[in-house]
Amino acid sequence: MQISDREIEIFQEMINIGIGRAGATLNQILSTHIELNVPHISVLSLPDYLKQTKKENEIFSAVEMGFDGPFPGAAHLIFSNKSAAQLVSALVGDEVKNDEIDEIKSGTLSEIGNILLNSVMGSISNILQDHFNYSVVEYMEGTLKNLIERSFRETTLLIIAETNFYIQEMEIDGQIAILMTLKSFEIMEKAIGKII
Amino acid sequence: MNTNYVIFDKISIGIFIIDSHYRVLFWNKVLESWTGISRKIIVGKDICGFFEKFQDEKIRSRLDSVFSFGAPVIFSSQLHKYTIPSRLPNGRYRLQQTMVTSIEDEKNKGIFHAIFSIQDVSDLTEKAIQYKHMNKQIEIKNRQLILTRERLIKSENNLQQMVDFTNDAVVIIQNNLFVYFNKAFVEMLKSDIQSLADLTFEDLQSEEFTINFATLTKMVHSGKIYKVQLDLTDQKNNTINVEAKFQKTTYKGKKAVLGIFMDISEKITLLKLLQKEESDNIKKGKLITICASCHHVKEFDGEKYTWVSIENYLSTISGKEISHGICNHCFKEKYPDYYEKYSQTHKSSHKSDDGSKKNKKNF
Repeated sequence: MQISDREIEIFQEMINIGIGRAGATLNQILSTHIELNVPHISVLSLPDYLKQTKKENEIFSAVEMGFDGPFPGAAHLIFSNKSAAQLVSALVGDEVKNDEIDEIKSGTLSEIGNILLNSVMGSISNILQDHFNYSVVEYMEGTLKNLIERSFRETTLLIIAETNFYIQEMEIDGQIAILMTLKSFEIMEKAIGKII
Repeated sequence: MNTNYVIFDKISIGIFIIDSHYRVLFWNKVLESWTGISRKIIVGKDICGFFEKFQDEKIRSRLDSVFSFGAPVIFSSQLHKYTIPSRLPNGRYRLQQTMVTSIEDEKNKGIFHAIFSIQDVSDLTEKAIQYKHMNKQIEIKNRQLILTRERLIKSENNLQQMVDFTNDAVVIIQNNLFVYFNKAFVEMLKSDIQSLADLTFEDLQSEEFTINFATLTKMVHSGKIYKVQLDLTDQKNNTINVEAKFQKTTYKGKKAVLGIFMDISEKITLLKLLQKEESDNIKKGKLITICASCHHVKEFDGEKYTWVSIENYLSTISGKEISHGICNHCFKEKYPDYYEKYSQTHKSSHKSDDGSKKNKKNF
């Protein structure tokens, strides 16, 4: 599937607006200053995405929020377990281990993910002037394949936004992934076409 | 109040509903119990009048996404502690995980209300903290264990260095084989490491006197140090007299025998020389050897050595007869009662023990 540069620009814009809002909200509620940046966006098929990450067996932490409306899908905030532990440690000042699943880690990441995903989806919803229904946010751990297939079985395309968190002189890498079917993506393209 | 909301009274989590003006539409039984604020009092009122935090911009800006486009919001216990302050019986605040979802107004489409579902996670958080604390303790113990192991390895290395420097031959025997031996052992047997590695404990001993490994193991496993003199054979078939000490030990986690060999070949040669010299002197009459216990005298009769009484010996060499008496000292010590009586009836000239008075009679 061919994605035009202009479309990528629009995605970038929508996500940047969302990320900007999320950053402002996070700085309001956290005692630590945090900066967010989305340097790169790509649109990939699921096999290409899995191939590109080259981390087939690595365990990731993800916060998922499903959405339904003109084009159904799911939005994910994904971290490697190491990055997730670093982020939570920096935010709550509590040492969190890479391989530890606990209430502190899941609770904190759920809220951070909720803020980011709400802002990004809110931005998409505003720009495309569409309304979505959202499911509740869920925290999950697993391989990328498991996380994506468990969340949205029909996934064929992913909009991947590399997201950098700058916090306490640390750069923590994450990804915002918007999972969609090909049909959903075409509907979204049409919606973007109307505003270009 | 919408009567459909009453179903939320059946759920064991705190639930309340507010509209976009922050007016309370519903307040469930759990929240009545947690806060002591009854539904009758709070429903229809602005929640900010009861809980100031709802005036806070950082809460309101989050809730905007619920009211404007129905997106759910989470307030985690980690970042907010609680949404509705309520104390536990122990006086602490109840830690709460809050999920805010939207519900569309029945009459006005596109108008969303916010449903707060509040889960009490105090116990869960407490357990998570305890678990973390426990993990930290285990980690500290593990670190200490690693440190102790490192120290042990270091001290084992130091010990090995010391053992390598000692003049005594030190070995560790396991299953009849020398699994460890120091430089002194190699030098004592005038051998090399490779040859010794293939030898058994029994191979090293001379044929005349052998302790097999089974006996040795039995002796040391009683827990005592087993001392024995052994004759070992070096690579050039020379006999080495050794004084050996054995005790049980463990080597690489398995039972073993620690052996220390002291070469006493020179000592034994010297002893033999001394014995020969003594024997020669006795034969020549230059030396009289008296038994330290019975005072018999060692005599060479031309063929063999015999032990004879000192009386016989003196009589033979002097040609005089021998008689027996008792000195004052022995009389006093052996027969004190007689001595006392005797002293009183014979107050005439008597020599004292120390010889200071001259007018006492000798026996």
